[in-house]
Amino acid sequence: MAQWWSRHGSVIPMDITNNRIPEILLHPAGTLPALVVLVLLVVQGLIRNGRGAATACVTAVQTFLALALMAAVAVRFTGPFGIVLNPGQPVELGVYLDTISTTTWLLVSFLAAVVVRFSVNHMDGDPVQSRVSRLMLLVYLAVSGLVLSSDLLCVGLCWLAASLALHGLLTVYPDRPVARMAARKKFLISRLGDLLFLGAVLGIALEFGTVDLPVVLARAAEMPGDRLWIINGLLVAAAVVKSAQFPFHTWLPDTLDVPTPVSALLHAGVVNAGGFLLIRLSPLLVRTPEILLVLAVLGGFTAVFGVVVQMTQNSIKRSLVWSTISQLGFMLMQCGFGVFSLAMVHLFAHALYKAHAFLTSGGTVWSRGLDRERQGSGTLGLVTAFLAVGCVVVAGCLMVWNGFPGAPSTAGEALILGVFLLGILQPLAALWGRRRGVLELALGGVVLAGVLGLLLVTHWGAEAVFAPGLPAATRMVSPATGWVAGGVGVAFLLLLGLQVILRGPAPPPFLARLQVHAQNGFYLGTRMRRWIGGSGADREESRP
Amino acid sequence: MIPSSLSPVPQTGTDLQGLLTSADRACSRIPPLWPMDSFVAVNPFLGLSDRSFPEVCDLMPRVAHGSMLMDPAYFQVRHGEGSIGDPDLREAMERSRSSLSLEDLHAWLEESDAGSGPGLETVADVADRMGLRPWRGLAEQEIGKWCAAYLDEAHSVWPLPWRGLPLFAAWRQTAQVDASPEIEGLSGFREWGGTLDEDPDRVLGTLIGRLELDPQSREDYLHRLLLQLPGWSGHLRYREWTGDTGRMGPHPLRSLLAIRLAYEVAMLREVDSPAFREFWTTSAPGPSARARRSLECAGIWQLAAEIAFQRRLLGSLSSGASGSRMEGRPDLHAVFCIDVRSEGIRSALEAQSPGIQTLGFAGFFGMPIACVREDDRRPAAHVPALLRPRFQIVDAGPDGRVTEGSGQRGGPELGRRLQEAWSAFKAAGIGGFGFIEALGGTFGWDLLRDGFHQPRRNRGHSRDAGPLSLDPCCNGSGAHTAGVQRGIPVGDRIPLAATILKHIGLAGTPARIVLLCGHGSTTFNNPYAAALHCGACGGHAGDVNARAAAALLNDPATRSGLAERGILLPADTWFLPAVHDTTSDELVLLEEESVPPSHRGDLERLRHWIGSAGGLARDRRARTLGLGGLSGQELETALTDRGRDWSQVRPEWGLAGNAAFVAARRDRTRHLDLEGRAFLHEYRAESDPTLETLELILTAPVVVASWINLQYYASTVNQRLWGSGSKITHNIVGGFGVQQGNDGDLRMGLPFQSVHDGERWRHEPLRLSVILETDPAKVDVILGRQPQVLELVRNGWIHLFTIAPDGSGSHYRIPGGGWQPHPGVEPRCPAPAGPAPLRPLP
Repeated sequence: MAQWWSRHGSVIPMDITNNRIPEILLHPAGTLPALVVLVLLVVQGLIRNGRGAATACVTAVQTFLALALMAAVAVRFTGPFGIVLNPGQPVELGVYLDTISTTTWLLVSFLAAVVVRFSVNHMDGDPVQSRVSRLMLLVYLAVSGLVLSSDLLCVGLCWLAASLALHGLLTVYPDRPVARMAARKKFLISRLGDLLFLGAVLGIALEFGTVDLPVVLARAAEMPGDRLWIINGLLVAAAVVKSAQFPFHTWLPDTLDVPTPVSALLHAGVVNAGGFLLIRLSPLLVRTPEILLVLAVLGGFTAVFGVVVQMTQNSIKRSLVWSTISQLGFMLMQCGFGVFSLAMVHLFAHALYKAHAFLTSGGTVWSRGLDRERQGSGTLGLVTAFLAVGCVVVAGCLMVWNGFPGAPSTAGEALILGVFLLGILQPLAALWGRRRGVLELALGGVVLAGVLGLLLVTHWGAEAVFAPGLPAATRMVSPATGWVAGGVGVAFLLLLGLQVILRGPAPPPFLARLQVHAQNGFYLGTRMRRWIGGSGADREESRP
Repeated sequence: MIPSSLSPVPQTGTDLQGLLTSADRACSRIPPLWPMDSFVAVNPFLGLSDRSFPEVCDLMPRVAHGSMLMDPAYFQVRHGEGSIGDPDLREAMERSRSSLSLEDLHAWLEESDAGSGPGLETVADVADRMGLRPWRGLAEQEIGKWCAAYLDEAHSVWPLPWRGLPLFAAWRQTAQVDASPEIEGLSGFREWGGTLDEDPDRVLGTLIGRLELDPQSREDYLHRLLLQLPGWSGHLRYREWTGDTGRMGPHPLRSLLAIRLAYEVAMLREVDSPAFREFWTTSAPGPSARARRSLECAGIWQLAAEIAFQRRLLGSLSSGASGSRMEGRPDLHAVFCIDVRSEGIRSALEAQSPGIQTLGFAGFFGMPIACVREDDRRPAAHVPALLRPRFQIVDAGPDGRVTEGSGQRGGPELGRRLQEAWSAFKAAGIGGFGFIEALGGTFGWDLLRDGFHQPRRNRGHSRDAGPLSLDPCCNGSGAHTAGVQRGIPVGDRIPLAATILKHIGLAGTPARIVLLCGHGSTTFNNPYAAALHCGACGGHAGDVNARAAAALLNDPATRSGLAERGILLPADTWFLPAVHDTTSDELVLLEEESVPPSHRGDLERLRHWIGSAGGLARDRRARTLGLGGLSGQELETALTDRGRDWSQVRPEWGLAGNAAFVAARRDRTRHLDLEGRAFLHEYRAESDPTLETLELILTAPVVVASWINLQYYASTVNQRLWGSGSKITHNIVGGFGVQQGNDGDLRMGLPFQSVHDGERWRHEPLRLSVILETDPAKVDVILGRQPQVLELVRNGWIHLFTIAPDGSGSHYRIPGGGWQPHPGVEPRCPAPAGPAPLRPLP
């Protein structure tokens, strides 16, 4: 077994026939009745109408949630195992259960259960309720297949199916041309992503002679890195294209015409699939660190770009959409630096946060007069001070990565820690405010310590849960990593600088122009719409 | 780049003045749109009530491209179920002096909607229709986007840099930077924007001149342009209405019109040609004969629906007062808001004991206050939209702690700092990455809590509040609005109390306990929460007003002052504030601990009554919410959960169904089940010799009720124009407005779910029928004094009736003037098959 599997001392048993699960689960007599029940539950969700469809979907998804919980618990005790319905066939219908797939399935099932439950009352009486419920159930099933399937071709097909079902959800209101146009944009982009992924699967089939996921993962370490260049390039490209990364993000901000629960499912679930697959296939990806560094650059850029645009948005849902783009970028950047376990945490945390944020977006009416004090106290001195501290933090993080136990072990990890620390500087600046005193200083210290503590707990938790099944970041250090991390770090420093300057009394004039361009997402969406033939007839006439 | 024919030409002074007058008149047709935190009902036809209802029905297809009457399919159903009969149609034809026949009207039901003929078209509409440029909706999108950026108060972390400038100047700056219009095909727009004058009025004049509009239709055309952005126009009109224009310049709405005109002229620059002008000027030839006839038919059916309702209502009302007229001092007086939802709880309370008398009064209890709560930086106006607050009250926290320190260093300030730091961490920015990584997972708990179990939530009204203080010294801190006094000065208290007591309608000796019961709703995750609160309290729950009124009337100094004026209240009368939770129909007594020991027994009895009254009211309401099978504790739990459910789009029906305003003695209606369709105001003609109370009722509560009524009417007849669409795709903008998905404009009115239950309209769109228990001659006196009310009656925005106090019959006010006796219920054979809205209480 390859070295990287054993970073934490445990070797994953990859031989799926040698497992410790009860025989009954693998026997047709055990699985078939269960399958029949599940199929019946799904069919019920698909054929009923109106509110009945929604409640039937809730029952189906909640049953799957219970299964997912059992699977996650089982895997904790048995270790990874697989169940294949038709062994030996060219396309094997089977599932591969390990910590990564079962925890992700648990997350997806939980989110789907919350979202379909939400839509029962929320869409009550809406003519499209049954259609939306059915399509959400299909999206959920397809994503579950993508997460669990042990056959990469099945994974690709499930990804395609999820995307097609999502297309149905995006066009659920036929009288909304903007939604139709967004769906069209997404359709084109997604098909490109599907092609790239299927190309990667084809490459894997050619190189490995199989598309069986556990086998491919197990053999990845033995494969010479230079033979994985094309495969990994295609995989990374597919993830970038399908996870709304710059410049393939333009469809996402236009999807506001869909029901709120669909937005929740989309932002918390479907768009994360690209990131998940990168984590899933990380044993392949770490063989070509240079390609991962390209991913880090793209992700890091999208993260900063997304935040800059998000800062200028005026509506809750638009703001959340741009936040998704930037957070996905950050997650892919973490993948790019090889910190897959943190990326996994980020995927989970972001999905939970974003689902809740969308579902409660109706409660964001502010009492007038509660508006934040915009004019901070920032003087040039303060700006300089914060930037200086920021530089020291980043440089320090980058330099000490081999110094202390628990400290970042690569430049990439150091950068990510640095970004978190820079993030804390911003609320500190707010806390500092007009009057700087002992109280504020003490409070700042407490806040800083609290957040740092939380981050460390998260970090350790991620290591404990996910790291055993994932390649370690140290395996993929390339000579360029430090440079890339430094470059991306500069982008984040610029972002902090922008925020600190904006708190100041007189931002320079060029920032005024930049704000307008940023508010328009730098016109990429408009240009793309015109490019693929959008016309005014497609723009909804908001008033007759 | 700029064609010479479109270069600026100086306007002569008088020309400009005329153009500005047209612009202002177009602007005045726009109704104000309140922000979501104080969303109160506004008559969507407010600026048009100087025209008659049929005239506006005629105008709307032209300027708004939509109808304001229901379609044939709707009336077909109403006709089929018997709720509109042929006698109603005949009377409707008679009232509107129509030359149509009954057959024509029946035939119209079978027609598909004839539409209303082409309306006025803007340059973008014509360019799109001619296939020249795909610009439909472009200006709305761009201006909407810009308005959101300019007016955003709290959302963006990086706001529009020119927000501090006046509205037009700020737009001019942005227009020179924003490349979107050029990408959409308006070449050289940024450069051209820079050549515009800085004064919006001069720009307005120049641009209107460029369009060479026909003076006849100029005002309508400008109205059309504003109606393409009715939400933002309405919001700016609201700012003008409340005087809250601040940095925006004196006429923000006029500036918005100038911006819209800039797009109009910029588009014309691109496509201008004689052929285009030809196409454009002939685009609205006026409605076809068929469309006119269709409009007339729809108008008659609408009127007939109202006549059918009035027939039944007046029939039941004039069937006389119930025999349960009580002698002596009642056991309890309970004053409720006139809100239609009060009717159910009032009759449920009355059912507890014949000694209980309830009254209807405007739910702010005559207290013109602005309220400051703990975290507020700006006081909230707890008055009807027609009034301005005069006094500022600070609402103490649950433990009676007045927020003395707000705005200063110390506890609250520190808390606010921490909150700011927290939101800075959470908000867009570099902090977001660490925030999600460290704390994102905790939202899993929130999802579990909200998704799988309805947790306890804050209500819109307080439950355990300490007593309010009216003294200036206790209301002195924190936020403040100019022109509003802090607290209620001693000198103002006695006149205020006297006015309240004069109009509130307490007949005979006030009971030992007089309950002042405001109302509020409990909902969660609902941008339209304020629409379910008390409109008379400015879209807030009525608890603070009830508490303030009780504090005023219980004040011994006020009592003795009143006695000096000859207004004697029994020494043992105690005013007790309460609040009616309209979602769960629970009555909550407030400030119970302040009740004197002598009244403990009354309080016990009252607690028992309100407990069972709530249960009874819930039982009667359960059917309307699809909870017909439940009762007792189960029903209470179901309704309470409904108010806490984060996914619920119909927590309650609000004022849906409202159709009548009755100002009469409660004895008139006490025996009737009005199904929550009537605003009930207590009125006794015999105690109002000077007609002051009648005048007050007609000028304030009737007008507010008519605003509410027309808001529901408009949201039902045309969701697209006057409703806010489906709640499922709402998006909150700037923290104060609601947009629909990707739209650029704010939405006004009520959401689809508030008037429709998924199968049928829950609200029946009927203009308000106002019934006054007095003599027609007295009403004429008031109409003569109040042109604003007369306008509503004369133009058919409300129907006016009187019923004689002695029960000798009712009269209908002919819109043009004069009265005619109203027949009441005609014996009909067979009885109507449909649900009769009014029936005696079981």
